[in-house]
Order: sequence, then structure tokens, then C-alpha cells
Amino acid sequence: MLRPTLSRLFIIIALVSTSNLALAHAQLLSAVPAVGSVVAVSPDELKLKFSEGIEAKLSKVDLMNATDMIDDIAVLSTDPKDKTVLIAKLKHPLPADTYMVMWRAVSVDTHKTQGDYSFVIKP
Amino acid sequence: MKLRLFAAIIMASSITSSVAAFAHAVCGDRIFPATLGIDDPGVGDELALPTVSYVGGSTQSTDTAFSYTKTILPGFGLSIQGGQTNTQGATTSDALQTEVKYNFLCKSEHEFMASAGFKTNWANTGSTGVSTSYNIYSPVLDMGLGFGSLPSSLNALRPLAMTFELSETIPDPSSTDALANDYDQLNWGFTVQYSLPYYNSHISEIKNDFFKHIIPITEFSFSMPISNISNTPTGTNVITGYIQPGFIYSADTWQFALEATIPINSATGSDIGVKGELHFFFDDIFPQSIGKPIFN
Repeated sequence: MLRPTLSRLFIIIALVSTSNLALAHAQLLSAVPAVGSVVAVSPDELKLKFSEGIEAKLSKVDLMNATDMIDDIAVLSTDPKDKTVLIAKLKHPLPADTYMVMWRAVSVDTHKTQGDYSFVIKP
Repeated sequence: MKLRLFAAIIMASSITSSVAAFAHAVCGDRIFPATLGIDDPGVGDELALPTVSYVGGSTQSTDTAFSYTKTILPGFGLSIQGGQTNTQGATTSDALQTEVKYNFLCKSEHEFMASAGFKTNWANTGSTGVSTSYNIYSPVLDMGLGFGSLPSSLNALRPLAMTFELSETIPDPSSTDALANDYDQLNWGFTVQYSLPYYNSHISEIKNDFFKHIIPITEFSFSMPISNISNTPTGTNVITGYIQPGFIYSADTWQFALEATIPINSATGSDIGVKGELHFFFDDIFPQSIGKPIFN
């Protein structure tokens, strides 16, 4: 009696957890410029691709160069076609330097995650 | 190093000290996965179903178990677990175990978290010969430490994390049966895990979609009798334990873990086994219903 009941429960949970209904802590899957990459020219924007939809108004992206915080993020929004992509428009092109992107993401189910990564714009 | 430390402090201070930071074994940038040999340091709404252990050779034993944790308050939960064991064709039910656990510490900037729990193996809830006639109690301390705050010059080590567990198994001191037949044990263990999801999101992008979800892990768990030594199977206080190398596939709302179970000595056992577990995070699957604390 126990085993069929557990089996049904397992199947239900498996279906729900792999469906689009399931929400979760947003984890960074990829970025442009890529995590740890070296690029030749400054991007116009930073793109952060998460595992879940993001609430841009509750999320944050900060940028540091090798020594200081820099206020170079103009607008933060999600891609209109894909809420898992957070876009940080830059005010102006960045000079050659090492940059650290510090992000705080609030997923659409209000779970919070955070992280940071670096990329380099070579001279 | 200055950049790394500054960034950690900025982000830590920007995160509110809300309960969400305590759910799902998340502390700062670190997500501690559920582990098989010892418990993770978090408290969340989750279900492990099934956990299957198989030991071959002359032992020929299969154990199938489940564990369900429900948060009562943010960071405070109650779990229940049970299972069945089949040894050489004979099936027995494991004793019912409950645990109350409180996640009392999360230092985001250091990816350090700690929880304290109290387990009870309930008397007469399993098969005769398996379940005892008295309760067995275990105060438990679980801790986790991520290495993400290391300087950039040590980037390759930042995905590393360790978790630790310390507990004592205490047969009901008021039971004469326990005093006559059982013994206290000190239990300790730790895990060493290298998070490729952390590597992918912090150090360098991993192109392969499978590997960016993998966490290679090795677990170590040990026990040593510390009282009524004459009641132990060998009559000595020999240390027993397992080394469990394996991996975890960590998805958004579930994870799968698979590990070998290697006895550290003949007193532990002579046969190598394998252990696997499917684990569901209800705080992510049902965030507005059974996945959140009963009292917020």
C-alpha cells in the first residue's frame, strides 16, 4: 500500500518540478561579456542570463573597475521577449580595465540570489 | 584581493537580512546542496524520495528511504524520515526518525552557515530486531563554509565548499534496556565539494550544459562508541565510517546525487556499496503553498 502511494507522489512532484510552473532561486547561467572573458571593445550593455524569470525593479547590478565602484549602469531591465535575461545598459563605453559585475537577482517568486564575476577589456 | 573583499561586503550589505537568505541552504553566493552521508547546514521545505542504498558482495542489502522536511517558522523545521531494508530477501522497516532543526547563522560575506538539530529515533516504530524498545536521541550541529571570498588570485579554489556535522547518539538514559544493551556514539563527518555551477557563474563560463550543473563531492562520516563499550559488537571503541566519493547534479528545483559507499575498515564492513537520491526543493516548487513556513 505504501509503495504505490509513494510512487504516485514521486511522479506528481517530478512532473511539477520539471514543468514551467516550477519556480526557483535564480542562478546565473551565462553572461555577455562572458564570465571571466577578455574582450577587445567595450560592450554597450551587460546581459545576464538566469535560470528563472527576474524582477528587474527588485534586482540590482553594480560595476567596479580595478579600484572603485563606478556608476555606469544607465538602465536595468529584462529582455521583453525573455524575462530570464537581465540587461544593464551602460551610460558610455568603458575604458580598458578589469571589471567586476556584482548582481543581486530577485526571481519572479521573490527568492533572492546574488553573485559576482569579472571580465576584462584589453587595451 | 581588495576588489574581491569590497565586492563581498557591498553585496552582503545590499541583501536584506530576510528569511529568504536562509531557505534552500543558500548563504550569500553559496548554495549548499543536500548531501547523502551527512546533513546539509540549511533548513528548507524539501523531500528526498527515494534515497536508495545498495551494498553488494556478501552483504546483499538494499535500503529504500524517504525524508520530508517542513518549515514551521523561517529557518526552523521539522523533518520525518523512514524506510525499508531488504537484506538477502528479508524485508524490515526502519525506525521512524524525526528531527527539529534551526538554522541560526548565515554570514553571507563568508558563505558560512550553521544549524542545530535534535533527532529522535522513536521506539518500537520499526520491525522487531531493527527498532529498539527505547528512543534514541541525537543532538546535531551542522555547518557549511564556502570558499568564495578567497582572493581572485585563488579563483580556482573559490568554487570549493566544505560542510561539517557533529552529533552524539544517546540511547534513552532512563531505559534499563538501553543501559544493558546499547551505547553512546560520537559521530562526525565532513564533505568536500567543488561547485561547477559556482565556477560557471563566478569564475569562467562552462559551455557544456550538463557539466555546469555538476558538483563533484566526497563525503566522510565516522562514528566511535564513547560509553558502555562492552555493548558494542566488537567490545571495543573502534572507529567505523565511510568515504563516499560521487557527484551531485543540481537543477533549479531538484537534484540527483550518486555516491559510492566505501567502508573505512573491516569493523565497518567489507563490501562497497552505492547510494543515490532524488531530492526536491519544495520552497522552489511550491513557493506560495506547502513550500513556505507555516508561520511567517
